[in-house]
Amino acid sequence: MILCDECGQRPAAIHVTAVINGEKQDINLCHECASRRKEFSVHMSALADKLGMLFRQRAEQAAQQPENEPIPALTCPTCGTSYAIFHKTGRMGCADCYEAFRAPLTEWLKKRVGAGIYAGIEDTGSQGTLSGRMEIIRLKKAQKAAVDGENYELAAQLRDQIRLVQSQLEGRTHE
Amino acid sequence: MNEYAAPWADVCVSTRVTLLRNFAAVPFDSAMSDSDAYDNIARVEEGLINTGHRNEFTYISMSGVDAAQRAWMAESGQITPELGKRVSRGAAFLAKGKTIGIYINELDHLRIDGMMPGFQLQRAADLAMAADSWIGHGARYARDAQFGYLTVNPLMCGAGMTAAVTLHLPMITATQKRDELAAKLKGRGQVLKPLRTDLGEPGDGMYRLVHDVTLSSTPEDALLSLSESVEELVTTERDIRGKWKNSDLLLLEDRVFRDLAVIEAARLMNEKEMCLRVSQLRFAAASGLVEMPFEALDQLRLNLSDAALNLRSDAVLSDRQRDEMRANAMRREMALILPEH
Ligand SMILES: [Zn+2]
Ligand SMILES: [Zn+2]
Repeated sequence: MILCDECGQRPAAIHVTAVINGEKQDINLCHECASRRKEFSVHMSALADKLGMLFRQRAEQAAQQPENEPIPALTCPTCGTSYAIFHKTGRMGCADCYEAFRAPLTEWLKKRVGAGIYAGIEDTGSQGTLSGRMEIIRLKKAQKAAVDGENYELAAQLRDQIRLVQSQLEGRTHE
Repeated sequence: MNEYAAPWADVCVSTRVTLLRNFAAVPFDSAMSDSDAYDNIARVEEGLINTGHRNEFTYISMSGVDAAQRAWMAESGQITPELGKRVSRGAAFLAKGKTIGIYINELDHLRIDGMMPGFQLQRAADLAMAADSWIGHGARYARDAQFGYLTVNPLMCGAGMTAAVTLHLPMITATQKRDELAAKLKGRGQVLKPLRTDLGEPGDGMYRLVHDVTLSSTPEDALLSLSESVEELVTTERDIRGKWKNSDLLLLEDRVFRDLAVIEAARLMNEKEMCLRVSQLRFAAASGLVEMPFEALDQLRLNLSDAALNLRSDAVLSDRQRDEMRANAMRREMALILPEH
């Protein structure tokens, strides 16, 4: 769990990048301390909006985790970002950070999203459009519901529709 | 009522599907040089040119527009608020029909948005995916066999996709069903939050439903899950509206026209109140009690925001001047809507 940089007691809920004495600094604050630091209010409202959900999720998940997640001494050889920096900011410095942090990152992600990671790697071009694939999944669900409800006429109609959409998708493969 | 309205426009304001992408072998935001940032812009333009789509887009560099314009563009959803803050490096290619936005050098190298009015998740997804393939045509994205598309925030890797639907749920709000529904949606990785969190809750029933954990599901499943949630919210909202209209039309008319009378009477109106008043108009239109296209009302809400009024005026406006302008503009709208009653 990341603690508030100001009070060091409550969990940090807001991440702020501030310029102090000409130097860029990353600061983590809890809601109470954040609202007291008005100078950051402009950054904060926008950032909090964008990242609010993420941090809320993280705070909740952190609460369910053992206090001290181990922080391995790893550094990305390409950009110099350390795992400790990533652990604090939640941000990667470059694509190679993923390679450098692969093992602990896999654990980190597992804790936060549970199930496996969808790599999204298969090529979309060979399976038609995303909406076409969505349509097929939707129709198949409706078909199953029709069969479950013993509405076989509707199920047959849906089966024909699925075939039609599938043939359209295949026809568009070489677009 | 609204014959040419977008699908489900009585409840759904707009749909947005976002893809996050980074170019291979280019450092991310914090480690990137100015010339890396410039190359990112050039790479996008090249992709659009090579696939014959450059003419469909307008190019905007954040350093080329002033703060008031950036504020207005962010407010009206033409650019992201995040991009508006990236003055020196940020740039965007915006489709002329406002259906695709390609935002460059935001947190990730690219944020590609497909946008449609009403509820059109599949169309929005196809638009974003199309733009993605035009840019990816000649350029290589950072991808990994285990993590999928690599993003600055690892929670966004995998499909690198988020989707959001803006919803008008005044009756779900009024009957206090919101929290119960929101809790249920949270279990699916979706968050229902007020649209203008910066104003406190204006009570306008405007929300954004966001699904952004695509890490463990395919984009299809994530979008279908969001689609089911939207369907549920729309059905619930319409049910309550319908029940009210069918059970006591006179009471409904009484409430709606009282609300409209306040708009006619107002001489000063701040931004927060305006959001509520436009919401009341939208509800009146959805109930069939006044005739006004939903898209015109959604545009009105944007046009009367602080950002829009500041941009329109040459001088710096005081809060009171803005409030007066806003009340006057609202009255002009009412004059267009109300004569028939
Ligand atoms: Zn604190
Ligand atoms: Zn790195």
